[in-house]
Amino acid sequence: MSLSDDKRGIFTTIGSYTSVIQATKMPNSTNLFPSINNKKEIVPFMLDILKVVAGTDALQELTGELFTNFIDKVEPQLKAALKNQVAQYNAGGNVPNYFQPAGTGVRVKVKDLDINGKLKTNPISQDGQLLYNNSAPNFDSKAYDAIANGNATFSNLQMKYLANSDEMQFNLNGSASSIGSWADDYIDSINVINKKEFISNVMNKIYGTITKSQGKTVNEAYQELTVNALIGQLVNDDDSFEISPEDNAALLRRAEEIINGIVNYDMGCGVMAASLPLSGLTNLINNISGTTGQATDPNYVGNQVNNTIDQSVQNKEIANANKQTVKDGFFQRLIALITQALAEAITATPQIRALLSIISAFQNQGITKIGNPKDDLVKFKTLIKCIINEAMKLINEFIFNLIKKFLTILLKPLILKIIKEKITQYSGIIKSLVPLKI
Amino acid sequence: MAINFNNTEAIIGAFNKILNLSSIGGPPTVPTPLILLGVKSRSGLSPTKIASRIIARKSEAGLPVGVLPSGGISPDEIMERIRIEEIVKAFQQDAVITVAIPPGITLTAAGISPTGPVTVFGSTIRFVSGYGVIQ
Repeated sequence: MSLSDDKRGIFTTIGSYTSVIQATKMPNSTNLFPSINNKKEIVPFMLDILKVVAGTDALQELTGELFTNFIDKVEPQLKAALKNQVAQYNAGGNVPNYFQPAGTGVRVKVKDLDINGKLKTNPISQDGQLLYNNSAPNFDSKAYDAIANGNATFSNLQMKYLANSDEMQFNLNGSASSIGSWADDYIDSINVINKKEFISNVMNKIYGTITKSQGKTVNEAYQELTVNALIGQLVNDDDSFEISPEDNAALLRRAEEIINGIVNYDMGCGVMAASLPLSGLTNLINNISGTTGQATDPNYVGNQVNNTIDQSVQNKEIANANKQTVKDGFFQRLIALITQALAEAITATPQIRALLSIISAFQNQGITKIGNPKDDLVKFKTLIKCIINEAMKLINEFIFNLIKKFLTILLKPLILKIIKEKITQYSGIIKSLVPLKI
Repeated sequence: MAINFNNTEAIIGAFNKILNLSSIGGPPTVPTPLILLGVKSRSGLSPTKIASRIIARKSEAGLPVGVLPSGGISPDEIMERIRIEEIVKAFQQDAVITVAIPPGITLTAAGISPTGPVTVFGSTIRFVSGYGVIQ
């Protein structure tokens, strides 16, 4: 090399070093998915993975799966979780005298037992057909009977309605060898997740159809939404029990919308007004809440739920122009509500409130500890969080396994390609080392 | 694998485990006699040959190969050659190859003792390093 080449080399080397140093300052990568920044909520993160792996239509598939394969099989695990969590230090003790069939019983205000006002609805009314499981004896129907007729019996529980104080009195029905065995028998007899009730509840969370039809006031709807929002916070591991002024205003606005019959949703492309009539919701529930035939097919159920978008949106033109975006927003929201409804089903329904009421009374000389639902969330925080965690574990596992199935489909050809590559490489090395052509 | 589905980190870790393809098994070891025998017949790294092969395969990516319509040499192909030359130069002049030999290599050694020549059978007892260059 000449002297001029050496001199040129100095400048080009300095230039290259400068370039390399600048190139190492990589631009900050933007988070394409909001779930990346959210530290605690795992479900939105998994839904984003599902969308990336299998496309946005997978959200509809997941909804169908949750409404069929998940709901149909989760009951034994939820019961086991409930038994685990309500077992207490006095589980081996005798059932107290006041709880015996002729005792003074455990009393609880009906409004504290029935925080969503379900027991005010007649099971055979049109709303009641959606809210109650009318195909088999269950706690809620019997509690309604007790309020209507003075008393009723469900499994190992006697219910007596005290009209003057608007209280329900619970006594043992039959006999029980211990507190623990009574609680276990009671949990075995309830239907923690009834498919029809569950799907009705979730769809009502989206459209508010049943709440409106029940003739509730804005304040009643607001109180329900507030309790549900606090349970939703617990689902996401937030036990602050504080609702920001903005969220509070949004809950009040939503309560007003529900009572007015039209709910507005931000579905990713602006606000969409939606309203699903009771007849539409009844048809949907009749089609998908069975335990045989098409109602067990996730694709069919997913499609039926998807059809409610067209039935409910008010501005068809905007909805059609943004069909996929509206659909994605709808199913993403629906899945979040399914997790919330699951948490409510195992912590806030009348049959679970009755259980908590009686179990807490056994620790408190027969006086129940449950009262205002919002206060109870704080009072029973640890117990409720543990029960919710058990339920979230199940739903997280279910979603994880579905994603795993899609990931396997994605990775299988890639793995085969890598294995083939390694074989080719090895064979190339061997051939290059063999001096003679064989 | 047992995953704690209540734990965000555990779920993220499980996804990483699925996506981590390094768990796919590697190829078997190349037989040592074959290496000793065959390595001498290798021609060694040639930047020209590597660059030529890459340029020849440009067509697989749908890119034109050869001189530009103006008759000039494609800067992209010149750059390809420069890139390979620099990589190979770094391999040959900067790379450090360290071979780690574990203890337990069996050996047969010959020596002398006061009584005369002896043959010793045994195995190495220390880790040993070796060095090499890429050619």
